[in-house]
Amino acid sequence: MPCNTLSSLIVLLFTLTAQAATPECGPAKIKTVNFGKAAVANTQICTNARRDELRSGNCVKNKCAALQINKDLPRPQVQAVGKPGFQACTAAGGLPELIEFQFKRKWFKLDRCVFTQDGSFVDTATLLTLLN
Amino acid sequence: MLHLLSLILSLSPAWADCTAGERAKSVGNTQKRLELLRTNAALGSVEQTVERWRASVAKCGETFESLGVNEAEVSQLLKVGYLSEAELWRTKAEHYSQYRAVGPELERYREAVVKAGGQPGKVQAFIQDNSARGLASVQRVKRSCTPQNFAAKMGPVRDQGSMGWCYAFTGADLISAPTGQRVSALGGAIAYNEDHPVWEGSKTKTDENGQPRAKDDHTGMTQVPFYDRTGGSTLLSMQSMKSRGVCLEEDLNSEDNGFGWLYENLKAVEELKNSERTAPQCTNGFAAAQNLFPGLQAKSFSKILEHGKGEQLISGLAQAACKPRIQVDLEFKEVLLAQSSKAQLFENLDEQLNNQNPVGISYDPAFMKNADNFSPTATHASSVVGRRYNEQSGECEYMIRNSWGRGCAGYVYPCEEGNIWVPQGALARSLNAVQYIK
Repeated sequence: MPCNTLSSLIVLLFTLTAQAATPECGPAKIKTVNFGKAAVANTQICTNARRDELRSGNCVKNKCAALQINKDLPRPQVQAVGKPGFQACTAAGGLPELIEFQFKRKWFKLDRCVFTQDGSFVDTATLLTLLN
Repeated sequence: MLHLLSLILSLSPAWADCTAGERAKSVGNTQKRLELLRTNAALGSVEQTVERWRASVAKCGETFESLGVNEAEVSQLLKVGYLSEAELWRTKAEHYSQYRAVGPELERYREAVVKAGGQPGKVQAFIQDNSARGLASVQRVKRSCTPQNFAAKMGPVRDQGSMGWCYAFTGADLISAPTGQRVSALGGAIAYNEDHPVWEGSKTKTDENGQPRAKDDHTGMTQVPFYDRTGGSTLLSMQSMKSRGVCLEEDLNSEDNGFGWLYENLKAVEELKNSERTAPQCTNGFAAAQNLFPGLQAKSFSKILEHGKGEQLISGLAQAACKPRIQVDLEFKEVLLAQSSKAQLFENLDEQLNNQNPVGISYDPAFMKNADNFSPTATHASSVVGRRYNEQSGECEYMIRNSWGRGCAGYVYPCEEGNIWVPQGALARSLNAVQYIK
């Protein structure tokens, strides 16, 4: 294999790996349902390539309420009402909810924990990883 | 001038670099640090901790001796730490050799024994036995761990969200597979609660006539609302679903996404029971109920609300909404660790997977977020929907279909859309029971 082809492949591989790890940010729609009434809001989000992680656009540099929770909160108990991510969210002062979000024209089911201080949010699985 | 400064710095003792903070940390709190060392030595090697402490003490121009730390005690703690470390690796090697090769574990075990002053020859037999057992496990697993993956057939993973009903989600998944219809976990939770209610508060031992109260007489007690219950039995929930007829997801939506926050919605519906009922259609409960039970006509709803006094309103509404209920002729089986063995649990699990049947598991899920955090207690329920042999690790892996949604952050094992591939050895340490349809 010629040397330049090999180096191109390495560059391509590196780029693809970097792309997979870097979250994409941009405009999105978020659908919530409250007591039977559906609402769709336009917002800015950041999400990973698999679209199974989510954070609000104002969390880009981690300077938002959703990512600055008290990391020493007690870890949630599995044998309690709700999945651990929802419990952690409530304990951190956020509001957990299941949502659908549309990013680049595709809809994805996920959840989020919303903080009223600045309207920031993060998916609850990621929120759990923030706890010590 | 610059040369002079360099000369002065080069002649300064090393501890000139010791900041006030470092001094307080390494030289102060000697007794507290020793106490911590004693605690940690019971858990594993403290070699690195001691080395770091010694280096920071030296950096501040001190020695253990000058601080009054007894070197003999430090040596003893190091030995205790190595012995703990050896025990830790011995236990790991013994466990994992049932499922895969354990070369690295045995090497760590031998190292710790030598560091503790033990004779390597004395542990050679253990190392040989477990090495051979691990290699035999690899050969066995290579043959038996045939690939299975019916995650796609099961549909997207469910999300229990605000509810504590992992058992009902698992039971609904197990029944969904043979029936080919998406079964309602909410229906399962309601049926289970009707058959197995939980009461709280104290009851008097005798009734007003002084006669002992019957076991099912809960006078003076209150029933715990089913949405507040934390856990239950997968097997019993399946039996309750069978006896009442299975309710489908399209008639009774189990996931928060259909109607906001399910927990709050159910509470709002329950509160309708206590409301004035002058204009229930204006309440959150009414809106929630309309969304919870999409097939229920307003007329039926009002009728149930009117006559629902004294019974669980949600049960009545679910009863009316789940029509037709599906009758299933299924037999359920549960194998408990307490009455069998881990090998038997896996035998049952594998047999069902070979037939492409999902299997319910009761287990402690903590190991999926931290591999060293495990216990065979049934704090959670999920289903297993796949199996594969991992060439790299030489171990069989099982796909756990969790009910915590698509989110994969924080799992220490590969996760795809909320399905997690866990190694058999790791699952074995946390597995408590399996359930399946015969």
